Amino acid sequence: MSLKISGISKSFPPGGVKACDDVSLQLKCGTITAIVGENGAGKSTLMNILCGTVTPDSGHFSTESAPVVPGRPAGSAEAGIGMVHQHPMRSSSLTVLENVILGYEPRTGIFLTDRAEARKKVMAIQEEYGIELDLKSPCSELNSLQIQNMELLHLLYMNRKILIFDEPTASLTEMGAEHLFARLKRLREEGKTIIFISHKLKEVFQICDEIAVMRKGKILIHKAADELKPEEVAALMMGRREDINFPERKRPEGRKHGKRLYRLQGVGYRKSESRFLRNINLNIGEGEILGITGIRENGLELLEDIMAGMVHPHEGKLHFNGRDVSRSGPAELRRMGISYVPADRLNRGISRDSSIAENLILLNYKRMHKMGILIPSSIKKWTKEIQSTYSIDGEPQQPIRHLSGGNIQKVILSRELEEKPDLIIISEPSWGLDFNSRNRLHRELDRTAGRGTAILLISSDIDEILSLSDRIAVLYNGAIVLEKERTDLNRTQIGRAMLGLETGR
Amino acid sequence: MKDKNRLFGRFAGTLITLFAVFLTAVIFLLIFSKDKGDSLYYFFAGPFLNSLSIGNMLNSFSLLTFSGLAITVAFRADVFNLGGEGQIYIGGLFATALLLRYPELSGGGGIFLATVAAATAGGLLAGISGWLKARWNVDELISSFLLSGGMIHVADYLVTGPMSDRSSYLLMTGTISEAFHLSHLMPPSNLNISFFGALAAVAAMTFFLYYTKQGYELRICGMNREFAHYGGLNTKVYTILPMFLSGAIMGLAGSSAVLGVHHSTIKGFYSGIGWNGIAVALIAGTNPLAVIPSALVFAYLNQAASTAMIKADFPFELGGLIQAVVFLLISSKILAEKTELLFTFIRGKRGAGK
Repeated sequence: MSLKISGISKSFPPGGVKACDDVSLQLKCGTITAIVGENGAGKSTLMNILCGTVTPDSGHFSTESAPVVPGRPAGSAEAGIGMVHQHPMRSSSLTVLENVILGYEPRTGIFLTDRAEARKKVMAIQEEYGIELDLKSPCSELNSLQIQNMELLHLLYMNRKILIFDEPTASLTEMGAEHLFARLKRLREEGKTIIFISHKLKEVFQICDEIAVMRKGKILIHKAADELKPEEVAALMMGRREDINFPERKRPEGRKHGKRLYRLQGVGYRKSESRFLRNINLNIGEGEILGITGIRENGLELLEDIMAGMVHPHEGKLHFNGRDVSRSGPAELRRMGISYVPADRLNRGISRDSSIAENLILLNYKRMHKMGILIPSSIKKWTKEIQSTYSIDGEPQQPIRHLSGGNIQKVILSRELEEKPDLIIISEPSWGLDFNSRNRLHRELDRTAGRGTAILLISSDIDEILSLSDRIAVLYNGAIVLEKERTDLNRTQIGRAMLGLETGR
Repeated sequence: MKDKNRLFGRFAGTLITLFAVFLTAVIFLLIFSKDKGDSLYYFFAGPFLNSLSIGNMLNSFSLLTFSGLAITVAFRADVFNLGGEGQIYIGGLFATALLLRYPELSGGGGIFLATVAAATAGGLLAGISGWLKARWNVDELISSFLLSGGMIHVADYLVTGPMSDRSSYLLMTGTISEAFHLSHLMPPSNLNISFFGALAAVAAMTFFLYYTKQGYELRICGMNREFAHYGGLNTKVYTILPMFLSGAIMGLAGSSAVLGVHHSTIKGFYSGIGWNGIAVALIAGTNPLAVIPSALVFAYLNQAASTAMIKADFPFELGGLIQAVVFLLISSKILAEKTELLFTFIRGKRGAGK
């Protein structure tokens, strides 16, 4: 069954950023169409609209037989649209069979489930598509590949014709991915319409017939895969901007940096089959900004947690100022002069229900007491000073959750900078910031590095990495695939390395 | 604007709850009482009719202030102490045991030592749960409840067995020497100087939480433990310390009941103080100063029920029933939060409609 999408638009919040901007697409049956794009390009929104969980502001979509009423999951289900989620939702106390037939159980009598009948039906589908799964085992025992299979089985059981796979390989090993691809080909032969969401270009070219590139809510191109080159698609995904100059940068290029301050030696960590780091070697000197980039879920978060002492590496060593800090927690690292601005600002970086003052004095209160007593007036005075230095809005006693994202980031950053650290670990600093706050933040970081502070900048935003870093390292699949001086790199090379298409150290 | 809404929602929730409690009491009263006028009169005015009622109400207020404050401290650090009853019992028992063992102590010194012993005993009992949580991540809610449940039986055995007063017909330990009795403020009522102790405890706890370094650390740990860890605070300490403090204040409730009212440990004297402390703390909403009005309302309800019971034909069970309703309504304090949510929701709907 083919699917026709015409003129779909959706803004978050109403009237705000356009997640989908007049999207039109024609999807043929018996084809695998890839929709690729960076995080936040609007892919998920579009898919949620197709599944009926998000109502579009305007536009409509229809199958051959009939138009689909948007915004109703039941409507999308009737039209035969189904999605295999990236993080599948399931009831883990039920068995595989119960999950597969959930909501569409064959009945005997009024409310009893005909298990024998259900089992027969599901086994027939399993045989047809070669999906091996023990129907009796409880869901909690399945690995990610098996869970995916179960979701697929669920969709096939309900006879869905248009199947959406949302980053299906994100949690799979290479073997698992091969299995999946074989299955996708099989489904294509059956005449199913398949939408494949991914930002891994290699696999997209390996298995898809058509490719649509999305950026900032728009479909930029939709062509057959053999008419396109990976480089071309990568450039479209990232957005081609040749005129990158560095307006914020005040520090001289290619300057010699001070003594080596912080070093990672063969650091490895294993969180799960698909989330790991291996053999990470990095070092950073005084006054240097080392930019570490990569597409999310390639190990950036793990590296952030390890460097900040929130988790300890399974192998390898971390050295700071010649001391082994592999086993040090945040408290010890802070005492040694390391500051940390986390990516998860709202849960880790602040205490949302506490006041601005209480959030600001987190690192400083130990110096502000007199015999264990904190004087409210001196806290208030100090807070006001910081607020005016860094132009942070709000009254000291106001809960911090009332502040905007940009102001919250300033609270965190000022708190960390006031410690006069030797090293700052800062992750995704401009997430959720508007253009101006972002520029201000970049200027501040530039100035800080100019004063001799080492900055470890972890960011999945290429522009940010390019405009601030002295040296750039790219993480792909848990390892560093590229590490060079910024002046020796360009945007395309970094983009290709992020996708695992280029290496070099 | 949003802030106002929230404040209003919270306040409204509490008021609605209290109103519902009184309404239930009145409805039950009208159904079950034959002499409706008298019952109503004694229920509402009874606690203020004479110094005995007023004094007893204020005494129950001081005990509830202790237990409410104990729960509030735990709440502040985002831990839960369900073992109040056992901690009160053990605290009272330790105070009694100490004074029975050393009757030659001077009055003031004995009272001081007994109070310290009670606080330490209660604190250690609760502190074990905190330590288990910090060490092995054992749920402190369950462990404090079970530990205290177990200790209640141990204490029961001691009170009715080895420590029992053979000359008394009651299940109680021997009586402490008169030198150690807390002076009464409004005889013949039970009100004694531990009333000021309770107020002082609230003041001290408020000062500790809002004006000291450790208080700040405790509150930050309670607000967001990951943030506290990230900031370099020792989060484990602030699992154990608030549990210890909570248990210690429960112990104070025990010693003040023993030294001020019973002058011995009676089997089951803790009943009602421990659990009601949770309700008091829930109304107070983690604010130690708010424990005072909250405990006052509770004490009033208790006294109202008992006066109406004695003076009119208010059925005995009704007192328990009213407490049950209070507990039910307050544990659904979600009501307060939901009110706010509901307002925003309705407003959002209306906005979308336009």
